[in-house]
Parts: sequence; structure tokens; C-alpha cells
Amino acid sequence: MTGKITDEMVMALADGELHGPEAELVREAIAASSTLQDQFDRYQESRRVLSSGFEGLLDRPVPEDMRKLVLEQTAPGGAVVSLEAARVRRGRLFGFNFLSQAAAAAVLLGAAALGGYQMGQNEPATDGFVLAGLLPQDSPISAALSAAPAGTSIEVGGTEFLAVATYEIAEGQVCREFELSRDGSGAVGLACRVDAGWQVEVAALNVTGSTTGQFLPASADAFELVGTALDAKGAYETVAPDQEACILGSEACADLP
Amino acid sequence: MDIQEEKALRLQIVALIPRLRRFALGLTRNGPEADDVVQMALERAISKIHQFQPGTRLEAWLFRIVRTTWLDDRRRMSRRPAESNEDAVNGFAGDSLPQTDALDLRADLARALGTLTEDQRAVVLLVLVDGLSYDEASEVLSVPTGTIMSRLSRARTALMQALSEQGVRP
Repeated sequence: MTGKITDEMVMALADGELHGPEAELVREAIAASSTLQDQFDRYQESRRVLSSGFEGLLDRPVPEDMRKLVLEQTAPGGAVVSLEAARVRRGRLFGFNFLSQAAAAAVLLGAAALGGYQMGQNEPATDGFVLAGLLPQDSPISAALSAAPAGTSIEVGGTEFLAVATYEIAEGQVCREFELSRDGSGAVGLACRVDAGWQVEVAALNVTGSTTGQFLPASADAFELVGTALDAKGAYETVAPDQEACILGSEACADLP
Repeated sequence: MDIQEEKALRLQIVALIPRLRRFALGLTRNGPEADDVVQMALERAISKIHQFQPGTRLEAWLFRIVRTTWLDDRRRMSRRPAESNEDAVNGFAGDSLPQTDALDLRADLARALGTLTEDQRAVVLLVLVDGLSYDEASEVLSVPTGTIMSRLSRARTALMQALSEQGVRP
């Protein structure tokens, strides 16, 4: 920063985002400062490098599969059209059929002893429903969240709790993604550790129609809800197993929460 | 939305596919993977087409779906047991579009983009490659414009540094 001119103001001018008197002020400052001029040149250069690096890609033909998908695929209400579904069509191991049977899911919820949930505000349009809230500290789910390493399952009152992943986000908060399943019904959720225990940020319930009886998680909307919650938390990368062990307290670790 | 409106909307989506593919290429840094992400994102978009609000920006809606699809996929890949990951990876690559149809990215640029955080990469691609304004990028990424600017500034510094370390003279 030089005087009142910040790096970001210089960048905004280079990107054509400044206009009028503010732009003129920054231009004058740049003209009077070789440091600001260098910054301005670097910002312009980075734009040129990026745009030239991707040059010509828009002229490439659109794959026919994509065009047909958009123009011809129907969009029935509540259908599962998802990343997972796409993979099922590719012959992947996993597959599922989502059924909107929130009542059955609620049974699962009760069976899983998920006391303390409250209805959330962002219910998906057609799929199950969304729950969030602070878990009681003596809840079996709280215990499972505190103990199960990612990728492992714990039986909780006849329901399988699967710790999917652990994230450590800004300010050191720990969040864990989990799945619950029982008799082909399930939920996916995200819980974050707070002073009072585990706060469920979002849990999307659903019932699968797997012919194998295996819980095969959840609808695209359910995953999107969890994904959105993870995005909002800035949680993009799962923690490594040793770091998770520190977080969960199974290994000594002085500098982790 | 009536049938004619939906048809018009679908044509608009088709017209945006090249930009979505380019965005996904920058995110994934891998042509076949990028097209898989776009394919899945388009499926999501079509499944929600009746939720699209006419009068809102279609490109922002689609860019957001592409990014969310990519992030969801990355997370699912990273957290599944090893054997499932292998299936997923195989499934992902095996049914990709023919290699000749996929987009490609210069190796030095792919490596440089790889040094950025996910957030930084997305904002660089939206603003510097696709030409979105700061406000438009803010809409796609659902963060304040000030956050866009700080991410963009840091990303550019990191990107130019990474290219320089590879001996690339911009």
C-alpha cells in the first residue's frame, strides 16, 4: 500500500473495475510511483497470461453427449440425477434409488437416538428433510463423532454410524461428515465441534431403495446440502489420518484442538 | 415456466457449455475429468431446471453448479475407502469422452494453478479467464466482493510466482 492506494485498488484498476474519480486517483498515484506501476503491470500481466493460456478452448466443438443431455433429457420432479447416478450408469459399484419417504427416515432418526434435532429452514424441495441442532453431550451420536476414525463404522442403537471424513477449518474448528444407515434408510450430515459438544450443521435424511439392502448414500440434493455446508465452512480437504488421531484424542497432540 | 420457455432455457444452457468446460478444465486441470464434471453438472442443472428463476443470471447458476459438483466429487474421492476410490477413479476415467474430444491445458499452467487453493483457483478462472466482474464472481462463489478481491490478489501473486519458478517468462 502506498498512501491511501491499496494493492487491491491497483488490481481493480488493472481489471477495469474502477471508474470515475476513484480510477483517476489511482491512475495519478500509479503515475507517481514506480512501485505502484510495477504492481499495476504485474496485475495486467497475470490477466494476459491466464487468458492466453486458455485461448481457443471456446472454439472446440461441444461433445454431442452433453448437447443431447441438455436438449433431450427430461427433468421429472424428484428424480435423482446426480454425480452418483452418472457413475452408476458408468457401471460403478455404488448405486442408489432415492425415495422421498421422510416418515421412514424419521423412524431412522429416532432409532439412531438423534435427540436434539430441530427442523432446519432449508428443506430440499423434494427430498427428505433437513435437520440441524446441538446434540446432547450424552448422545450416542456425539460419542461416535468423538471416537470413530474416518472410514470406520460404529453401531448405535441398531443404526450404523459411518464417520465419512474429518475436516479442520479456519479457527481450528473440527467438523465431521457422517452417514447413518439402517435397513436401507439413511442420512448424511455434517457436525462441527463447539464448546457445548457437537453441533449438527445439516443432516439430510432419505431412504434408499437399494436392492442389496445396503445403505447407499443419498440423493444429489442431500449431498449438495452437505457440500454447501462444507463450502460455507471453507472445508475443502480432509485431514490426514495422523492429524485426525490428534483431533480425536487417540494420539497425543499438543497443537491441535 | 412453459414448454417454450424451457426449450429456450435449454438452448441457452447449450450455448454456455464451452465456458463451463473451460471453467471445469481450470478447476480439475484435466480434460477428461473436466468433461465428466460438466456432464454431471449439466445433469444436476437439468434435474433442477424448474427451480431456475427467470431473470437471474443463468451463467452464475451454472458456474455455481459446476463448482459444487467438482467440490462434492473431490470430497467424495478423498474420503471413501481405498477400494471404493479405485472403483470411482476407474469409473471416472473409463467412461470419459474420447481423449481427442477433451480439452487440454498447458502443463506449466496446470502446475501453477495447482499451487492455488480451491477458492483462489475458482476466482482466478472466473475473473481472469472468463472475464466476470468482481460482483459477478461474488454471486457465483457466494462471498462478498471484498473477499473476491483479496483472494484474487493473493492468487495472482502465487500464480506468477509458480510460473516463474518453472522458468516460464510471462
